[in-house]
Amino acid sequence: MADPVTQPRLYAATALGGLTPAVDKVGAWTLREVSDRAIASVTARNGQDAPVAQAMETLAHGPVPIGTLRSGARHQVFSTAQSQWFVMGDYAQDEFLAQNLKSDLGAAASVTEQSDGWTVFHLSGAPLAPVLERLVMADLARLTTGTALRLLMEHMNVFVLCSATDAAVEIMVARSYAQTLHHALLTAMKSADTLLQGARTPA
Amino acid sequence: MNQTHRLSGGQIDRDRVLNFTFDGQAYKGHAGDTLASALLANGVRLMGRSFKYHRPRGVISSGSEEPNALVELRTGARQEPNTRATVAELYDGLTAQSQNRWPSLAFDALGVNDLFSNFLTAGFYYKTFMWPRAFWEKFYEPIIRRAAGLGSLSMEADPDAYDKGFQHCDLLIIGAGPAGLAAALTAGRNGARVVLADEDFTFGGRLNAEVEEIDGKPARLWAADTVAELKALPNVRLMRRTTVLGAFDHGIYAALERNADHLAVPEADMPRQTLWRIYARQSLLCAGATERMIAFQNNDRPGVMMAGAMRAYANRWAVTAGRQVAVFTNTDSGHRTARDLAALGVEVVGVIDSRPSATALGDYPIFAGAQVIDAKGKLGLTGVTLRRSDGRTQTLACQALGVSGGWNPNVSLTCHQRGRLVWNDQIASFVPGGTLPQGMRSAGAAAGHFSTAQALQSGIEMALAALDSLGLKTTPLPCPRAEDGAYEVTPLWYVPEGKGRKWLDFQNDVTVKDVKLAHQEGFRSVEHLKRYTTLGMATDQGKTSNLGGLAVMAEATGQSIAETGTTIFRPPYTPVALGTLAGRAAGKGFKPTRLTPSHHWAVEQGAVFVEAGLWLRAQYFPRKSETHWRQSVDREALAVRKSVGVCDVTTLGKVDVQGADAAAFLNLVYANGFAKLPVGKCRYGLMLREDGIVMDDGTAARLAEDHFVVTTTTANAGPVYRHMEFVRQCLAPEMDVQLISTTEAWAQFAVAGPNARAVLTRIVDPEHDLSNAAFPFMACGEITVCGGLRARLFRISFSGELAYEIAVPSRYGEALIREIMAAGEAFDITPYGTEALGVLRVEKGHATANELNGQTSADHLGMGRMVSDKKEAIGAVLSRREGLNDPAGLRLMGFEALDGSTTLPAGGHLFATSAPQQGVSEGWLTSVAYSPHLGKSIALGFLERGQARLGEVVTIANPLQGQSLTARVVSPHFIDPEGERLRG
Repeated sequence: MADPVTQPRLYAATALGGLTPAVDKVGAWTLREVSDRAIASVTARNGQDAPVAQAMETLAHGPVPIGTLRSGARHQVFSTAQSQWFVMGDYAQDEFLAQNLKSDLGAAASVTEQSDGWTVFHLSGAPLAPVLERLVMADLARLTTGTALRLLMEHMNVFVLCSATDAAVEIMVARSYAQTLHHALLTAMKSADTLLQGARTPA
Repeated sequence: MNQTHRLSGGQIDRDRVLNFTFDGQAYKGHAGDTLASALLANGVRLMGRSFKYHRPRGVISSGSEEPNALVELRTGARQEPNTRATVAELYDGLTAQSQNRWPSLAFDALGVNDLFSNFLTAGFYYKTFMWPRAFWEKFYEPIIRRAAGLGSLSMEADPDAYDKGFQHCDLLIIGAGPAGLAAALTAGRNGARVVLADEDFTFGGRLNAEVEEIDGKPARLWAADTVAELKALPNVRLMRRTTVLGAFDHGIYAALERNADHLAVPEADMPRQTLWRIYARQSLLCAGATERMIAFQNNDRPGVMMAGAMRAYANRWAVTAGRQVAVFTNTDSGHRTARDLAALGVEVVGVIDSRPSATALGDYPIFAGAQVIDAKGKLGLTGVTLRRSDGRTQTLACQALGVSGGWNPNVSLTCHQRGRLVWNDQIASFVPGGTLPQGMRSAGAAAGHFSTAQALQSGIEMALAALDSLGLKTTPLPCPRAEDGAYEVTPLWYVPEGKGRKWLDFQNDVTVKDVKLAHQEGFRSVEHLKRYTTLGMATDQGKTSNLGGLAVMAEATGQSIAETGTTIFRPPYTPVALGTLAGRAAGKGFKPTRLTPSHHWAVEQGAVFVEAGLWLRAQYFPRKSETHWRQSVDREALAVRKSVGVCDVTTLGKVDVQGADAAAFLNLVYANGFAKLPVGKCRYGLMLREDGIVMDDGTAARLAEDHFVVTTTTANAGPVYRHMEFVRQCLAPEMDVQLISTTEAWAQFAVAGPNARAVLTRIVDPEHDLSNAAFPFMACGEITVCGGLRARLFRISFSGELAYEIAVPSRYGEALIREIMAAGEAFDITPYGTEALGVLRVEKGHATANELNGQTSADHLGMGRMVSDKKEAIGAVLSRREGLNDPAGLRLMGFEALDGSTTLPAGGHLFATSAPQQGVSEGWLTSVAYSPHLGKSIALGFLERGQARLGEVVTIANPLQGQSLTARVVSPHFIDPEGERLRG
């Protein structure tokens, strides 16, 4: 059962500053700002690595070693560092994700609310490589479904989470960088689109 | 005149006519032309002037090695100097200007330099302009710069965008001639991830320039068929118009792709060029070879060119530089040129072959054992004079001379990691040595295999070797049948006969004599030779000249060329526009911008913003009536002291610290005690570096027994987090503590002023008691606001007033500041920016980055007693070093102007009024502000023995602005030194 949701008299703004998430379409690609994501970081306390990893495995319906993203019934889990994970859920259903995880894990783990620490952009369209190869140094052939990478993108520290090989990724960045990341992604999309179109017309 | 020198055949599209201009004159060419081939087709041989002597010059090559035919391409902001006409792809509307000439290419006033060539020999700068010394900067240098520039800049901003990108592959193949194509086919069919890059706009390399067959079909068609097969392979990426510029560590290559240089203007959003970083597990250099000149008298006349280029122009572009042509050669390569041009109907007046045993390949006059000793025709070749084997001279009328002195493998990339070349006697040139960049091999002409069959075979073998080394399964390919003639060369670097100048380096005007003179003057090392004569410098980096210069040097020293060695090859292989290196990091793209949760609201308020690291923060909020920033800042600061103000402080770093040992951990990283901080309380903390110097300050709030939130200054959010992680992982791994940044997760606002509580009472949900008794100074807690929203409240004060910092999840930040503004309306609440924040903290005597400058100790800040001697803390021991605690040392003090009109200067140095203002000062002002509260300029600063000098008037030296001012030494706490306001 979903947790109760707070309904303060404050409105929520997206990371880009809008009341609704931004959607941009360029060529084959669609970039969506994701503002309904609940995120919590979970770090195993000393000596608790195994039980916390097990708890993550339960949430994600499988093990979540470093470099992977895995989806369970209600949550997605990806590893961010040694014995550290980010758990994600639907904000509308799971606003108190961090508190709930903390009450489940108790003294085994340190849990921190990250829902607004990060912002998420969903980039989809096939093939994705022409866009991403302008932004990240990763070997995109290895960025397959269920891969989670921590990378630099235009000087920003990002997580790239692959939900469909060469077709859909989520890119997470610290919230204050949202506008710069959005600009970088849109620029790369336009660049890739115009170059692909150029390649189709004989020179 | 319309394409008078166009031949039949070629790989141009005659149905597509392209209009272009050169020096204002209109011409026509065809799709598939380069600017150089189109100019030659129109009978234009004179394309440029040389760098030093302004000698008339024509194109000598058909590739990126071109030293002569440099033009300014395009006009306006897109004008680009030093563009090689040989690689500029013709497009409709192309505009080119010749450069390094005035007033025109045919008549260049600075051609007078040529008359003074005896004075302008090697090293003339160093000899001529030494005296008088004072003349250098004001007189000689401007003249030289005026005369010597290659091309000019538009001085307008580059309107184009440039991309960067990253690629990964198993095998990077550099060059798509026969070796590269055979290698790509081998690796591609075997399933390896292949990138094939070639700087040309058509794949095939020399196969497009030669009349020969592969597997029974014309070589260029074999190349086209191969490219078609490669295109269909999903594991092969074909990159034409792409130059691999450099080989870097660990198999990383830089490659420049020209996306739009063949278009008049890039399409909207199209990056003009892309600079790729290619991570290649293996690489194969198939960059071919560059033909070399034989130096003889006046061998720089327009119309003298490389024999291979002459052949390429004829076969690929259907162009001849002259109706009558001659060839001067010491290899069979020159004979191919004669054969091919004769076949196309060009009159070959003779092949002058320095080898006595040479025989003709076709029906043309041959002069075996002869040498060309002079060339005639200032603005264009009219004839050559040769010394025949019988000793007699003969003059041949011709408009073009093809010269082949042999071929040099293009080995540059093999040396970018300090690889050493190996001399190969058979081809009389250097080939790649044993120490290549990681994972690199070479094949084809780049490896010294000059026949097409050898190139194909070596391409296949090296591709297989590369794949084998990666453990990939391979099936060999049958080698296509192709020309397999033996390459024979009898080295001839220059023709000894004649006293005139014999040109080695066309771009820098270096002659055989210059090299000999350099040797005579003691420059024996090739690197010295290069610097003294400028041989091999400038945009072509000596691609056509280096070996000739080395050969002359070798002869002078009596060493072999191998012993003489080469200069170092460095990236980039060909010139790169600075915009390409910048990529998207131009203008506002230079760095990311971080926005606060209230940014859009602040924009609505008309805020002026300031950069604080990557953050944009509101600096002040001007009102319509205010014409000077000080009016806004004074108003904001006074409003806080009088009633209440609100400021976005989200930018302060927030580190979430959890774990059973969280308190012990903070007790270690902070110099003052934290172990006993009760839950629900904040404490100001001082963090020292290991050397005892203050690193940062901030507050830590204890939210639970095992949970703290540490705040840092905005500037040090990253460094402090990194330091804490270092301590956690390396110094105290046994502690159970976990850290994670939550800076961005919470929108945090300071609400400060006597009415702060009254405002917050309307925000904070009523079940939370904000009374002084329930929530005193330095209290903190997790609360709810605005109808149940989780929030954090800290009663801390930077301004010295009754103040709180309130935090909500960032998505609600913008709404919260609007709510706070509405709640504070009755109290005339005022938003304030970083300027007022600075004024308030200077008035209160709080230190920030100006004071925590990496040199100050806790004692200097007057906080020496905070460094606890009852516990172990990082930096505590070294903070007790002698010198950091000198009672006569620096102390943070306040300073106030003696009147309301004096402005104290930040950085001003302090002296006793009785002392002369020179030598070592007694301190300096770190932060200054106009205090609207006190009505005068005030400052914080460090002063020796400061605590004993209260009331003293000191001199402030500000020699930069010619000022000498006075100020009174006071307590740094200008406002409420007892702290009654913030506890109220």
